[in-house]
Amino acid sequence: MPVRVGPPRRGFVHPAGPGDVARVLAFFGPAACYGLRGVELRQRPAGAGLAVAALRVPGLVVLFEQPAPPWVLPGRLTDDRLERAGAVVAAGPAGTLVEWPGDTLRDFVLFDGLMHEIGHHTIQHAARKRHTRAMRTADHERRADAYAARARQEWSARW
Amino acid sequence: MVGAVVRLVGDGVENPANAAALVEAARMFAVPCAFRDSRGLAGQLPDLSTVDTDGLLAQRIVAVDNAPGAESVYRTAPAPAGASVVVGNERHGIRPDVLRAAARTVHIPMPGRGVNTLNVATAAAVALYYLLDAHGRRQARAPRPESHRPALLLAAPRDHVEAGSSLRSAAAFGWPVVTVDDREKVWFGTPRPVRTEARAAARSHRNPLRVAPAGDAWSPPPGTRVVVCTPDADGPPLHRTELTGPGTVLVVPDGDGWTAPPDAEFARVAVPGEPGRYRLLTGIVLAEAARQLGPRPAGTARPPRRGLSYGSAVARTAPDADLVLPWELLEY
Repeated sequence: MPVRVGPPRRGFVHPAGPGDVARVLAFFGPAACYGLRGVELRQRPAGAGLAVAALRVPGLVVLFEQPAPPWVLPGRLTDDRLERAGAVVAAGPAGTLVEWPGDTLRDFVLFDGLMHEIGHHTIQHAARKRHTRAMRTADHERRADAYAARARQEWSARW
Repeated sequence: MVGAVVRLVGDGVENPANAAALVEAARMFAVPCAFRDSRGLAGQLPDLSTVDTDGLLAQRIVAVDNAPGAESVYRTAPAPAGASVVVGNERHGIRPDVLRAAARTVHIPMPGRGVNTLNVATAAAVALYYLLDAHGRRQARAPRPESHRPALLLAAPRDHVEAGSSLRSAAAFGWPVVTVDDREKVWFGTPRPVRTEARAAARSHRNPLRVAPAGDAWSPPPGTRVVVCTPDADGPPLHRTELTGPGTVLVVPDGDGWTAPPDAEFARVAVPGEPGRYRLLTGIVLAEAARQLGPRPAGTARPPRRGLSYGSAVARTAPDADLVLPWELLEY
């Protein structure tokens, strides 16, 4: 599986390197990789917000660079995925402080980014659809989330 | 229609079925048909009339090809007497030596999205229709052609490949929806081999056309104007009939198994020879309707379509105040 790396901007990092991506893909094997064309580590496009990852159908997963931790975010988080991934989130009057102890940011990108998008990919691939959505967006997201959660469980059980 | 004596030449056509359809297209316009056979076609069709390269290049050539700089077949002058009207290979078009030697290169404007080519025999029939002097054509509409596009009904096609090829032509000429009166069971609910052939002829893998069944007892909605286009109709020639306008339904029947509604108008597909197969007929009708609609105004082309994508981002509420983040300072 080709993993292409674009260097991150100053102040940003790729929390999961090509080696991490290759390790995860090797662990989940063909069930996850079938039909995938590649993984790219890219700079985050302007105006994309706090984008983590994207799937370009058919089969290209893009993992975006992330700010070097800790994150100081304006506004409040409405997404509990960060805490589930092990981040320490502290909301203050000026914004939200997100700390990523250990490898939690790497695992967040690997599972809530990479495996979540692979979840989307497997749905589209199983439905043999390239240009149209295989199901409603909300259902697609829910299934991709479930796929990523299951992958994280399997990975944790193994390691 | 008074046709000059020209000859239709297939240059490197490789599909025998297309070659047979090309011969029929020539017969439709009462012109001879020959092939420059570079693909072993003569081995499969022994009765084929062939022409060698020298024989082809010795005559004046009107090339029908979507080459850069080609002029529209709707606006070009009639083909000169004795010229060869050349159509090319299904995938590669006309070979460069013929294109270089051509006195004129014409193309058939196709506003369709997804499918923008015709079957080679259909293209030949359309080109011959305009090159052999379709006199007294109606003016093309100028602004907002899409609001005048007529509905299209393919009435009782008898062959699945002909139906598929006609649907390909409809998409190429810009129709988004076509209704099919499928009483001969050639398109809907067919066995798998038939379905596969029909869809291949329609280029279904990239054809965005929506095909709607007409139902058992199709009747035009109230207030619509039905124009039935056939070669043996008792009516004005196709190119002098108004084929467009809101509320117009174009009907192209295959044979005489379809009964027109009592108040239908008729337009005659005026060809000097014998009526050709269904795909040739529909190709001519659709080309003429597309010509009458006029070209799509510049600047209305759809922007290139981005592929399907999914994204994952961290959701948060907007901040109460503008903040400068550390990494933004570093960037600055």
